[in-house]
Amino acid sequence: MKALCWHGTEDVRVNNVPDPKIVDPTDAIVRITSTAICGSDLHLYDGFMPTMQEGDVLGHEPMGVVEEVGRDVKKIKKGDRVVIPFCISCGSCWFCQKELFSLCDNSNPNKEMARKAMGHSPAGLFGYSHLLGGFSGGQAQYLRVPYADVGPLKIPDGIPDEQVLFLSDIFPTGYMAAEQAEIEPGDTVAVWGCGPVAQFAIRSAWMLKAGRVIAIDRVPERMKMAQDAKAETINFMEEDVYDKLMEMTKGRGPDRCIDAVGCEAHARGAPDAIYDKVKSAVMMTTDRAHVLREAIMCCRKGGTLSIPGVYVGFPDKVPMGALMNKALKVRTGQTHVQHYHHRLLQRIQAGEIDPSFVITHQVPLVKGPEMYRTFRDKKDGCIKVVLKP
Amino acid sequence: MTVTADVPTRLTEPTPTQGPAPSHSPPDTRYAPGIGLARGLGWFSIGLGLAELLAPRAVGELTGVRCPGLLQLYGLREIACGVGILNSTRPTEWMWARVAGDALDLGTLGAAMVNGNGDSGRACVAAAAVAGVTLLDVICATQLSAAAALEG
Repeated sequence: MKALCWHGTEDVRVNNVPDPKIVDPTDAIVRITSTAICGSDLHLYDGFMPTMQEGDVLGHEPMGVVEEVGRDVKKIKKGDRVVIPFCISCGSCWFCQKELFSLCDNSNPNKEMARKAMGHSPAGLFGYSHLLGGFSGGQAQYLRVPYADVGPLKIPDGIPDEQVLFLSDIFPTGYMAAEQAEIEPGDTVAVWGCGPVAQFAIRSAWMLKAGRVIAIDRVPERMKMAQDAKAETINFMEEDVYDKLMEMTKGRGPDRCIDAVGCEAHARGAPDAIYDKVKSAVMMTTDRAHVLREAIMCCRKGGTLSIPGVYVGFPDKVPMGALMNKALKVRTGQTHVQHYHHRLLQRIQAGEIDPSFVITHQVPLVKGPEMYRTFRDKKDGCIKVVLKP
Repeated sequence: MTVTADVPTRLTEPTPTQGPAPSHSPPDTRYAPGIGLARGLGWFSIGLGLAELLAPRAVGELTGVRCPGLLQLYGLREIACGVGILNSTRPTEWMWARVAGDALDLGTLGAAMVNGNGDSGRACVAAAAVAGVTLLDVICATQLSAAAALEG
């Protein structure tokens, strides 16, 4: 089969790789019909994520049609259309029982590696390094799905792929970010970034009764998409974010802050961002944490900071003094997709949201390598790429 | 103060996951940094082994080691290592076997340098080449061992 494979920093290729096979009775094989490039895939593309290996198949936002199931799979069958959550969960451990699916105790076969890096191992993820399982990803024609009774979400006929594909990751991720921000009716919510996750966080904030949403970015078409969702915007290349937010909130600061940027933050001349750039250039850090620092400084006293943006290592110069003395609450984590995807599917079916708004490029899988670069460089108005194997 | 029976027990220990996973799904690929280098060294090993096995006298001419029988044995060792490397998803042990073989080769070439009748120059050049390959073998074996240690 054809698959997009990682071959090093900024080197993604279309390769012919062996078709996946059932290796465990709880596995399913899914023929991929649509699959997306995620912003977090760019951390792999840019070489920020350790334990990637030449030839690893990328991708964690897939959907498709079930081709084959293992003998212990009961809930899905050949021919079902399914969306596949990016996190792999066993469904039976203590964490899965509490619906903390991205913290599954059992699904990461390389858990000892993860334990050494993080203290404990989170769930295995599709196509996201050997530290997180060494599972092949979904930017391919076929995908092996472990624990197939737990992850895949069956999709009723009549809903196009484009409307449900993002239940695999970015819609639940944006929603969980807003939910974890603990928005109360009328709250002012500031969202750093206007990328795909941020777009869903903005819309989810409205669903959760925010009174005002402010989005921060520098890319005109992304800011326009945020404005289309009735968010006010700040261009960080033109205005000082802290000053502007204080002006907009009469010095109080946003009640809820969402960092939808993560470890590859850009900034306009901020000393801490230059410091990060230098450290990153000499391979002294994997994270450029300007947004994290800025959000802590901007958030109102006693507010909440929700972090869906991916961090991978050990960012420093984090203002812990401000975090502590302002009594901020921090919520973060990989998304517990299976906890959210049923209810978000219902919202789609009810016509409350059509997630396809975020798609700007839809191309064959073989164009994946060039689309990685276009997406990374934010060229050609690129906000979200869907690949068709 | 006496503790009455109706005071609820305070749970202070985290509740662990009970029982085994319903199954264990293995990774699709094993973490083996350096696997590309290992594959290259595996093919090199087979090539050198075939040369030693099939043309021991020519190899002896090049290296100053004029013991055809010994060279054929070394050839078999090289082929075994090469096949082992190419047939393993993470050939850590096979790479360390190559390092041990390199030490043997260097010892043999050292002996040829000391005892070789006029061939010490060739043996010296061959030893330098083997030392270079040994360096690559050690780098590769170390990378693979580090990955194995990370997996625990």
